[in-house]
Amino acid sequence: MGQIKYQLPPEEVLAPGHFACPGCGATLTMRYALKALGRKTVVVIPACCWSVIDGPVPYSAAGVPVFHTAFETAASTACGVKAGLDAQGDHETTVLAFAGDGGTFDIGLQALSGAAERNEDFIYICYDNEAYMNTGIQRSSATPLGAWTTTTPTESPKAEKKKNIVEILAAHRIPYLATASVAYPDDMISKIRKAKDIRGFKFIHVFSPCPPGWKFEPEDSIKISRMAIESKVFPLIEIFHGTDYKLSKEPEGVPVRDYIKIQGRFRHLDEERIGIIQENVDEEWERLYSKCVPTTQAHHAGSGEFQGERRSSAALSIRETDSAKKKVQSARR
Amino acid sequence: MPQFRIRNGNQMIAEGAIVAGCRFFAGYPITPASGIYKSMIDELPKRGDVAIGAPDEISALAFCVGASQRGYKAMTATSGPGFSLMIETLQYALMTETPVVIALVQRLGPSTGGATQGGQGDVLLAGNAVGGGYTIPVFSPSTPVEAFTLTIHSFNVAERLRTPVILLTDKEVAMTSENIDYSALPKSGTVDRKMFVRSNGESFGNYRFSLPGEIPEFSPIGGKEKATITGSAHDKSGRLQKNSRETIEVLRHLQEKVISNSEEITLVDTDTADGADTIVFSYGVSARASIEAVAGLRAKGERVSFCNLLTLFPIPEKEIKEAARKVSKVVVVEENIMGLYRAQIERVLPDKKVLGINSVGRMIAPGEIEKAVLS
Repeated sequence: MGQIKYQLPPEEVLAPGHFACPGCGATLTMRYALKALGRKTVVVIPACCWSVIDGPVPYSAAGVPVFHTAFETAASTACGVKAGLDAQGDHETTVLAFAGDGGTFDIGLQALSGAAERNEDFIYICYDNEAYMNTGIQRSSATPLGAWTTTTPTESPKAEKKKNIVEILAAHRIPYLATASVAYPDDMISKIRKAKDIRGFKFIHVFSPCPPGWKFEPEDSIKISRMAIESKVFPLIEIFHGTDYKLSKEPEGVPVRDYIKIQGRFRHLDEERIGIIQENVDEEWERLYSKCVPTTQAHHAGSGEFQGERRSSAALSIRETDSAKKKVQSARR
Repeated sequence: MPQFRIRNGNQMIAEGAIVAGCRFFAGYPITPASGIYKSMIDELPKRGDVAIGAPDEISALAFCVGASQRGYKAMTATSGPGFSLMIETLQYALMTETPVVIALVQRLGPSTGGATQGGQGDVLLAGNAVGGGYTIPVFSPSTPVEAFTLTIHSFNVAERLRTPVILLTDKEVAMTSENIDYSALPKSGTVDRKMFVRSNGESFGNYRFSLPGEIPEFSPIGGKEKATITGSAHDKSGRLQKNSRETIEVLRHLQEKVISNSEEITLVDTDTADGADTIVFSYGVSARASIEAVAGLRAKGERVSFCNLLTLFPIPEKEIKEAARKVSKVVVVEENIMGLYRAQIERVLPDKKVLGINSVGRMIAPGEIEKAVLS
């Protein structure tokens, strides 16, 4: 056995006794996010599995205040909460919007895009389990090509590719964007901590396995997460200001087939269709890899460096100019 | 020969829609209505028809309106929170005289409410969702078989009157499976919207009528006739106008066409007992408990009538008055706190004593109804 080379923050902000299914990636994500952010956090959750996971009365597993909001409003509600805190002089409390893929890729995209465009100062974590799991496994625009869901039955599995939410957010030129996985808690926690130290809009896309929805045994959640990374299905990256890409981990490049074969939701796929998926993954990977700067020259994790970069960022200087203008305008009034 | 199959209300809504000629369905996941979405996804594509998942409820209904304006019979299904998002497009469908059916499966509300908890709290929201007080026909089944027949009826009314129609059900009716004898399913005819056929020199206007209660003839957008579709105040050709005489005429017509045809679209199921002094009104799952309660009371020698309100809007005033003509006591059973439909019945029957039996967050038991009737 290899040595443990990192240490997770010991405090468990997420209490045991939550209502998640065994092997739930979304629950591990919340656990690590709260470890990274600490108790001075407000979590905003739209309709999703986590509306239920937090638990009915008298339970609330989260250990921090939770704002359960309407399906399409996670980003907007988070904006309001953050503005309220700011107005009251509380610049310390972190606002975390925590939403599934349906509430992020589909119904919540408009609110998300608005918050990103305005460069609102909060963290948005999307735990992506690649379908509407809480309502009974219906396809979302995050469902991958070829996957079974109850609304993409095996005779006509999902015919469209997964929406590339990372590129959509990158196009907003937000200060910080990252992908993370429950297979690498140290990486996830360091990314969330980094996000906490950066002002402006931060988006973290987390690969979140779902045993009942993807049809695999709960104990394989971490294995599947690791396979997703190693097969380049879900590369771990960071993107600064929407333009500077950094690869967090070089994938081994295992065949996508190995990732697909361990999940029931892909059981109906023949070799030809698996081949098409492999081609798609390769194509996406090439495109992404060409954007990534070599790791040695990339931005390092120290938050001090980010502070420096942040000041020079175009997005922020425009924001500062805008607020300066507003001050001038209000002075004139 | 009876042919039994086990089906729930959601499945029977999907089957009814297909019998009615529905060829387009757009859905968005929401408990307790997702079963309709799933059934339509399973069935429609096999027939070469379309069933798609929308990215939100706004899109789901807008998809249907678009498909309907191409001449397809279209349906979507949702619950309270999703219906809230559909209201703008529902108003648009009314304004543009677009036939479309919305299956609204109620759960405990308001807001996110209780996803897996039943309720009958959306009854007035469904009937009054349109600014200006326009009436949207609302039908309410209490069994899977009624869900089947009322779905067909909803499509027929939508087509006939060129209007959105709401099929209002609830979690218990939608998700409880029952043994259904398919050989005894009522046979219903289907109605198609009246198409515009050009005769000599006649021009087409998407909203053309002579008498206010008349239904304009339809021509699909992108077809032979130039159709202008707008949610803005418009004249009979669909040209945007502020408050011209013709525009006001169109605005009056939108209500008049529903009200003047209300008798023909109204269905209620009245079970009168000779010499009854009490009548019980109910709808949806509460009607099931009421039927049992009325049977129990009759077994005890009580004379009680019952009326299952299969039509909630337009309010079946004539039928309510007729059913309650000889009684002195009226009881309205529904699963919401305020007695939402009771307030409507009180208005229709100003001289009667109207008692409400209500609950929230749980079904009403037949015993409660019996007790209230006897009190």
